[in-house]
Amino acid sequence: MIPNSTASRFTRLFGTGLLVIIAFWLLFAFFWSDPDDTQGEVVRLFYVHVPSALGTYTAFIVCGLASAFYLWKKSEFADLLAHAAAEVGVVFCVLMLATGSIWGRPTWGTYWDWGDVRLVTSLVLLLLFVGYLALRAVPGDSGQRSKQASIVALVALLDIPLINRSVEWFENKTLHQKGTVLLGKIEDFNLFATFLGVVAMTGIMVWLMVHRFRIAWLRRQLLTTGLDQALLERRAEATGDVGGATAYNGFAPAIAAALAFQQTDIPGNWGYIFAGWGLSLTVLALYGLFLVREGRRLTQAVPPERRRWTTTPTDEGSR
Amino acid sequence: MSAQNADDVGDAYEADAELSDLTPRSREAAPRRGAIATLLTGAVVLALGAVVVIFLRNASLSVYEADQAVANRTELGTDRFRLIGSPVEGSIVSYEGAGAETGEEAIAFTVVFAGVNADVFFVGPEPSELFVPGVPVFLEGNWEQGTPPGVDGFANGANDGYYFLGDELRVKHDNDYRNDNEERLNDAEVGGLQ
Repeated sequence: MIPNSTASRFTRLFGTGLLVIIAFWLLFAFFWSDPDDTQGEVVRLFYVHVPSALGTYTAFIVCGLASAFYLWKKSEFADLLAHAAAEVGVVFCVLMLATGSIWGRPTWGTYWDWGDVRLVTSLVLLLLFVGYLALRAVPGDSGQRSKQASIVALVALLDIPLINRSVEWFENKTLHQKGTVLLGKIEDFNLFATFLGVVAMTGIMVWLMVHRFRIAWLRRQLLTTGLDQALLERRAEATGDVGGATAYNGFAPAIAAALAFQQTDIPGNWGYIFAGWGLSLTVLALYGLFLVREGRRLTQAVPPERRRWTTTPTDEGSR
Repeated sequence: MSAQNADDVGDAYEADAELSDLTPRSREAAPRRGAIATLLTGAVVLALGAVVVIFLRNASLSVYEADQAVANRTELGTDRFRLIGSPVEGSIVSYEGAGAETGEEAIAFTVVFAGVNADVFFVGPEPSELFVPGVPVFLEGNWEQGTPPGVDGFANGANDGYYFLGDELRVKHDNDYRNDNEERLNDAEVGGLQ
């Protein structure tokens, strides 16, 4: 069977299951869990912020492991997986920082604190992986570039234990609270809402990563067949599709709406809650839409015999 | 996908390929993308440097719990530092108009850490709703001698002739997420389920 998009039976079934989990996640987060004694309703941002953070760490750890495997075995599969995981991880990392900042305003009294170790090390993590993606886009020998990027990923990975342990090491010197879930500091439906959030966000991360990996694979196939990126642009010009940019164009209004929403005087900090949740779900939906469209476009551009991302690439195509 | 569908896909590809002009394009686009990627890489390196510098500048600000701050008051002088403590019950008094010129809040209160009280006069942006007795706060500012202008004394405070003049206030909420439901269950257990 020759695929005509990056979707497959697995991604469709998995995606459908995810929608059901997301529906229950929303029900638990907004209707079936009680407000916190101290924070009130704004605690509902916890159910999207913590899963975003776990998704970030997971994606970057996958990137790091794949990078290590690439350096060891020179596996093209690992190289493409590392690239896909890094990009998805950056999206999750942006959401982690955004939801954390939005949550910080009504609780800490500020969006950001430069003296807080966890916030700053998280920002450093984001910058390191944005740098990783930029490095991969720099022209030059692709093998050398992959090697350099893999080393950057492994260095960046060292930041994750620092982020995780900082709240313990600097307990009374840092603003960020200590860990919650593993210390049993959350219970009942509030814990279940968090658990569903972790399942949903991890699932979304996997779904995005599968599509992003297949796109990376198709791009490599295009280079292999000698139809370079210019051909893609030509085809896009002919169809009026500018590389899924229309999907990305939705990010700016989503961010603007989130910023505007949190400023509203809705009682109970619901402006912040809707801003954090709305931004997260909108960005993930737009990114998913972009990947699906980009995947369909690229699949059509690749010769049918090279559309299988499970086959071993030819030697000339591996670098 | 059936064999017919597979053929359709292949045909569509071939037809589309025929429509596409495969003559080499101008290479201007590729160098432009490369230049953007190189610039972005450089910008990320610069941003990382800036973040580290800003963080180190903030980290150089000493952090003292209220008991340490009181014990080291002489050495601290009027140096700026971060003070940590929990507002004492009944000590929070807002002074309307004290920060009116800048549109800021002026609040007098006392914080406690390890049983030692320190009086605080805060003038700055309105604190979050979680600014209540018992929830720890981070303050930035310095020691001042005497009492703040317009303030006679600190309710339930140390009133030891010094006060901490703060202009930044952050609430450090804890990691405990409980709700009334649990309290109700506990009450029910204590009272006995009839």
